[in-house]
Amino acid sequence: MSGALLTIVLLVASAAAMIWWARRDEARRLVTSYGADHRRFRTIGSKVGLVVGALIFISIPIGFSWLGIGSFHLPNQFIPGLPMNEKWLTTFIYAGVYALGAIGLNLLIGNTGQISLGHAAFISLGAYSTGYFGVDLFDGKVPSVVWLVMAAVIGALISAVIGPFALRLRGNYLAMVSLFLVFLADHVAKNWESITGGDVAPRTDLPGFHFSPFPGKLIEFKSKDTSETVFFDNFFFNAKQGYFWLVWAVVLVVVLLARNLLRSRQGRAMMAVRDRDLSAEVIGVEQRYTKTWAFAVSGACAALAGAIYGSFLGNVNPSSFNLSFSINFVAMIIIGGIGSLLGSVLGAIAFAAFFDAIKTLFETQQKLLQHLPGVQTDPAKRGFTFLVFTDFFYGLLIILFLRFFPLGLVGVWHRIRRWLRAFPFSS
Amino acid sequence: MTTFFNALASGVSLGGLYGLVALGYVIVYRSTHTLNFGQGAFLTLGAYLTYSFSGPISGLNFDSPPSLLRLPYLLALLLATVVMAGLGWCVNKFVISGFRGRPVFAVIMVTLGVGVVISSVMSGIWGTSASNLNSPFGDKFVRISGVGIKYIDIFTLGVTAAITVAFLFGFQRSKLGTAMKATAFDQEAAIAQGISPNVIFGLSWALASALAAIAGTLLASGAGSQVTQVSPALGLLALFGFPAMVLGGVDSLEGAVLGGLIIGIVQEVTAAYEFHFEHIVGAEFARLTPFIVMIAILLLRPTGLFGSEEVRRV
Repeated sequence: MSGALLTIVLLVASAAAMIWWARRDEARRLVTSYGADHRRFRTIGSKVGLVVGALIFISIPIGFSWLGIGSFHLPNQFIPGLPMNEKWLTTFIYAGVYALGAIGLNLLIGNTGQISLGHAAFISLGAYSTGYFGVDLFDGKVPSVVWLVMAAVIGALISAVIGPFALRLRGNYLAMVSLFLVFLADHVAKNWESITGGDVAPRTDLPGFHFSPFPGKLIEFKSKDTSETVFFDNFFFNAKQGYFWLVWAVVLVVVLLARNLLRSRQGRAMMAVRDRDLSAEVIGVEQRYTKTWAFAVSGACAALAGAIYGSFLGNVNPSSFNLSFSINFVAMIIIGGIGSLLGSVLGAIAFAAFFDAIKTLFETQQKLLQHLPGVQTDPAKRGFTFLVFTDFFYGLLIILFLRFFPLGLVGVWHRIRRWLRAFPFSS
Repeated sequence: MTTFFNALASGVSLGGLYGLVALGYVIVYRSTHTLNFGQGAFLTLGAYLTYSFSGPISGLNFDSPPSLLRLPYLLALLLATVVMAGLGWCVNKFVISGFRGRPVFAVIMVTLGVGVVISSVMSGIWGTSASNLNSPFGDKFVRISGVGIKYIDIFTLGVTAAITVAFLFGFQRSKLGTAMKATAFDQEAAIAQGISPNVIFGLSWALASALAAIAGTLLASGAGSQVTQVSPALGLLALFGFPAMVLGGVDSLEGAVLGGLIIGIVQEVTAAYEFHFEHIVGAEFARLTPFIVMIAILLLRPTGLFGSEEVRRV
């Protein structure tokens, strides 16, 4: 118990440090020029925060062993009081995949204002192109970076075809047409059996990840592989730890690229189109180019997510990319915060963590839950199983967030930050 | 030729039901300019309610979902329709009404959210496996010069025709129908005439849900050949109401029904002949045809068959 107490003390101390730092940074936050308003990092606090946050995040699969504490194995507790095991690590991997997809969707919906309910189609496209480029085309003899990049390229190309449709269709109509994408992808996945394996024999041979950081050294990990890759003498990791770093490294790269995109002319053009597309044309923003571009970027992100998702699972099934898979991504950006990169990532983590929390609750508290009417702890039977519960709560969260927190978790965080900045005088 | 007429018969019946769903969409769209993307859940719930009110077929299901009453089929259908109308009214009153004036995206997502909530509760209560509805029609059919026409298809055609006629010639001219038209045309002017828009919005939602419940029940009883049992797969059929609505022109009642008929016939005829082309277009291609028709219409003639031009302010 003392470990948990220590954690609480640490959390309180870091909150106090944050207040102090926020107050100290207050003056530096004020801007006097347009350029200053668009800096990547406004304050030293945000730089230091990013580095510290990244270090903590990198440490999730191995604990703080790089500081010389403990071994490189997956720890039982991340920090005292916060449990960590293979299951939670898997949750974080899913969260990373979801974050990639959500970033793409948020650029499209939140920043360009084009409603799409067909995101699952591009995720499935990414997963299948992994199979094609990673296994079929070159007998699996290419570095994994090739299929990762090819997935993004194919996703961008196919998605860019949708752009011109968005020129004539807006709002409700675009949403209807994007529904068609889900059906179309499903149809293709079930019928193009030479690539997808179809419904009867879905392919199970998606490639693992391998690359060599320097000549003579090959790092290799594959889905469901439990053996450990030795990197240095005393540094080794298994497939799950490898996938964790892989997916979050890709998330980091995509976040930085997207951040730069939003700071550029193209990003401002996207937001102008969102606010009023005809007015944007009047001030010299070409609608066709901007919308096509937004669709392409979104498709590329989704296909990247699909590629890593497929590689991590090792198998891919046509029926898993259905309409509710699409709706999940929209739920993520609503929960996280529409039009915000941080929101996409937060929403994805919240989504994945929530799913696993309910699942764990149903697995560990069977005796308690059996007394509740209608609750079914056996997922194979009829009743309120954890899958039904999670669906129910996601639906409810969509409604509640849209109604009461339209800015999502990011909006909540901004409120906290404002409170901290004005601390002694905050209301 | 027999194949064609068989497909035509079930196409007309299926299309009539798409027409009913689309009619619901049009009624709501005209008064509130919103679309219910979660209508699939309403449609399925209507079918499940009829199932529960009429009781399962005895001796067939071992682990049969719960049934409340053992009413005759028609009475169960009527009761389910009334309950669904009430639910539609409540959903508008307690959820959707809070989103007036919000962006299109928020409204689309909140209707999807309502759909997700309803369908998850449904799969909690009734499960996800398909079961047969206790309908008096069964698989019986009448043979007219070699073409077998199912009783349920004839019944569906009758119901669809009756509802369409009632809407176009009765309801449209009643005081309530006129009030709805007035609200759709100019909300402020309608308020000035003593019409409460909130009541009109609630009634539109109630009507749309009731129509979805009827369509769902008849589909689950075996009308058409797409889904012939009570199962969550019914929800997808509500999405085919969108092509019907777009084909008819989004704000035209008669257009919605006609559009539904065309979509239904196209889908069933494709389903009947698609195995000849399966090596080119793939199996179950018929599922895609409504959307292909819709995209073609949206790009070539956005106003549909009977719709009015949409004016956008810059």
